[in-house]
Amino acid sequence: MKRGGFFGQYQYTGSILHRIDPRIKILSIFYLIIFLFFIKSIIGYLLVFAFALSLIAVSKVRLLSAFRSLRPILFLLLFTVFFQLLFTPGRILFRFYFLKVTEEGVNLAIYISLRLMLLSFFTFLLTATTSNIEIADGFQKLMAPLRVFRFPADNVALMISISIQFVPILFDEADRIMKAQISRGAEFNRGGIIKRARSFLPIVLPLLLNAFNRADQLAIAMESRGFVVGGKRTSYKLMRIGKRDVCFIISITIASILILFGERFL
Amino acid sequence: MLEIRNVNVVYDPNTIFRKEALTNVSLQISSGESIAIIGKIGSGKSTLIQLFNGLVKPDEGEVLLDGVDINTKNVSRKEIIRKVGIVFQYPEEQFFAETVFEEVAFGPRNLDFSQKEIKECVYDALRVMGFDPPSIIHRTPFSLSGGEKRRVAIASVIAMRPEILILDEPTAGMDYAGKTSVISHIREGRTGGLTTAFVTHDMEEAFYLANRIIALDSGFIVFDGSPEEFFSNRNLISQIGLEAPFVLRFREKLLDCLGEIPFSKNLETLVDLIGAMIGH
Repeated sequence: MKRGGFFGQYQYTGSILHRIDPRIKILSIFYLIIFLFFIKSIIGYLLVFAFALSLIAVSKVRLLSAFRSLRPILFLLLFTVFFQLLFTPGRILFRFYFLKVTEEGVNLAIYISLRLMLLSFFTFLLTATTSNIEIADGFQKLMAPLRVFRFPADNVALMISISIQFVPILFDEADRIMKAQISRGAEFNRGGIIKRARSFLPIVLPLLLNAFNRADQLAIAMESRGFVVGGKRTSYKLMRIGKRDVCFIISITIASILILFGERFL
Repeated sequence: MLEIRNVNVVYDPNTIFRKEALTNVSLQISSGESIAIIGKIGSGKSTLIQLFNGLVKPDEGEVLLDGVDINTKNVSRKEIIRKVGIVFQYPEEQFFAETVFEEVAFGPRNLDFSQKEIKECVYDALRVMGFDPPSIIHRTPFSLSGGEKRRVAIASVIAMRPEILILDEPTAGMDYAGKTSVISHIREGRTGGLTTAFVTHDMEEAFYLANRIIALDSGFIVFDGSPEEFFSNRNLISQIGLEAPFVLRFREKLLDCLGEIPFSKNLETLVDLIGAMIGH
């Protein structure tokens, strides 16, 4: 029996990608996501796609789980494709009553769906190869320089880290409440939209109440162990950028340059 | 009535989180029984009770309710839920309704009971759990005391008129008064003919409330029999990390110095019997 999991789910395989500094991984994924917007042709997208697949292969995580990570954005993907296909002006390919499909619409639909898919693949790579705590620590370190501008980097990082650590707890709690309400005959997939939305009230309301209670208890527990807002903090785990990380940055940079060249000359 | 045949449950197979929650588990629950399901944390107790109404599906084996496998497609989910009521741990954390009436009526309403039946079920369930319905149905469930909340939560499952009532640690996290009240009302429900099975870490509760004990260890059933038989097996008790109830430990200590001791579940009766034996 499969237990319901949190999106992206960390899969430990011990690959080289798992051992790369989380800060480097976060920045690289951001870089790759921005890089996607510079790609202008199908060839370019296919090259990025091949690059993403090779990264997945290096990470040794299951390829199928990468495609499964598309499931949450499937509706968004279809919605975008539908609108781009039908409402982009240009050279008409065919007409169905008042609906027109244009050549530009088809191109745009392909580009945008490929971009969304790749975006999901890259974020999947980050969450599959980096544990929640590593991601939180990485963000904390990346935000540290912002302290110069009086930005409460530590507090924001702490909030992110607590939120991330709360997600699986809340998922478990939602699962527990859902099972309890199902045991009282609740059904969540019956009736129209309003009825369905209302049927989630017995889950959402207790979940929110419990989350507030937990947050309250956590705040008291932290204060009772000497937590002070704005206090100076040290890390138990020190992050150091090593040869492996530098090699990773260089490979990402070379790959992106090659993709841009490939897009121009292929 | 309820039968589990050679059930295996494995969580997250083919991953590093793989866990064999239950292995080759078989048992039968007959009408009128009161069963305590005991074992360490992670021994498979919660998985076992979730099998009873189909919330957890077995990877192998069958769960039969009145002879019908509940995990086959043509079985009505509502019928299973109605027959097997489960009260989860900390059930008061699942409250959402504005009034006690609405909270308790949630189950019967989902099972499409008529308005008249809903009112009857709510009133009956609240009475079983020791409330005077007219004085409580208009209150918000969030304003009740800990013990009252727990009893209302149990009533919200009893209101569905289940044939078997399953409770997952019904007295967890409660004070003495709340605990006693919940136990006495479950016992009253039982005298009304309700079949109950409950998960517990409290051996006193298991000893006094159950007429059968099922002990689990690492997903295996290691004992299935009477409380007296279970608690007389010192090796098994220590193997699964438990402790016998006070009255039995007290008897055992005396047994070491006096040789022969009469048996009674009740402490006062035991003291009287020993008194008579030693001539007081």
